[in-house]
Amino acid sequence: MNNHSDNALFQEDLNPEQLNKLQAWKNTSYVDEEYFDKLKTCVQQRIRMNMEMQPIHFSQIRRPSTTNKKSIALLTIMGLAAVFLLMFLLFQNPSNVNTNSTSPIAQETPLVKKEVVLKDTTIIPQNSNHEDSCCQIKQMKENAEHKDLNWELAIQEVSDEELEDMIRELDWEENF
Amino acid sequence: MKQPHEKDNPNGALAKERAFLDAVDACQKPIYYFVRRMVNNHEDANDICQNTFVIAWEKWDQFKGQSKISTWLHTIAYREALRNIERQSKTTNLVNHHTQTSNDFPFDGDEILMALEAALHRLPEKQKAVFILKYFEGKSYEEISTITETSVGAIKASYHHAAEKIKVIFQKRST
Repeated sequence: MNNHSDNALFQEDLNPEQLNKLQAWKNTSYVDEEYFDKLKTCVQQRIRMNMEMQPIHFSQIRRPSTTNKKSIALLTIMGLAAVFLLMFLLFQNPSNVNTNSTSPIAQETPLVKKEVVLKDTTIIPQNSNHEDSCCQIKQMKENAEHKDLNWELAIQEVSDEELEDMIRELDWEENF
Repeated sequence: MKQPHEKDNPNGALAKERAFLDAVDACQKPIYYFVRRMVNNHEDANDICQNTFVIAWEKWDQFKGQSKISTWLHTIAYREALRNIERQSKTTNLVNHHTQTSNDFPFDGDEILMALEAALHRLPEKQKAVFILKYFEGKSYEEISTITETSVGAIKASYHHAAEKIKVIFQKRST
C-alpha cells in the first residue's frame, strides 16, 4: 500500500489526533499478504484456461468445416470436369467407339469385314449356274498358280457333284 | 500461459510472460486496494482484480508504453469497477447495499474510521475514484486524468469536493 502522505489538505483544519485517524484510515490493511500470492496464481490459471480453450475452439469447429467444404468443392469440380471430358470425346469421334466396341450391335455392321472375307476366301455363291462356277474355278486356279492363293480353301464351298462336273469339264477342255 | 504464436517466437512469448508477471507483482496490491475501496467488498474486489489482469494479458500487445504500466492497469481496473458497481446497482437495492457493505469494514469499533469509510461510499463514483487515487494511492492529477479519462481541472475539482466532505465529518465529530 502506498504510504504517500497527502494530509496537507487537512492539516489546517484537523488536530493531531484527527490526523492520526486519517493516517490509520490510509494504512488500513484489508487482507493478508498471502492473498496476493493466491491472486497471482488465480490469474495465471485463468489465463492458461483461456489459452487452452482457443485451440479447441478453432480446431474442432472452424478448421474441419473449412477443409470439408474445400474437399467437397474440389471433388465436385473434378467430377464435373470428368463428365464434360467424356462427353466431349464422345461427340468428337463416335466411330471410334463403334469400331472398338464388342457389343452385338457393333458386330452386325460388317460392311468392311464382308469385303475382307470375300477377298481372302473367294467364296463361290451356291445359287450360281454351272457355267459360271466353272469359269470362276478356272479363274481361281489361274490365280492360285500365279498369286499363290489357297486353292483348297476355295474348293471347300463347292459340292462334290459340282466339283466332279467341273473337273470333268476341265479335263474335256484340256483334251480338246 | 501459452500463446498461439509461441512456437514461432518462443523468446518473444517468454519475454511477454515475464514482463506481465513482473507487472502483476508490482501492481496487484495498489490495484486491489483501489478496487476494494471502490466497491468495499472483498469478493467483488477479488473478481475485479482477476478480470483486470486477465484483460491486461489479452490486450498486452495493445499497450504502447505511452503511460506507466500501473496507470494502464488502473484504467482497466477503474472501468471494471464501474461496470461492477453499475451491475450491482441494477440488482441490489441501494439501502440494502450500504447495509451489506458496512459489515465489511476492517475497523474494530473505531467509529470515526467507519464514518470516513461510509462517507467515501456516499460520494459519486468518479469523485470517489479520484479521492482514492489521490489520497490513498498518491497518484498525480495527470495520472488520475488518464485513468478516469477526465480533464485535469475536473479532477482537481472532484478531489476538492471529496476532501471538503471528509472535513465535515471530522468537524461534526469534534463538536
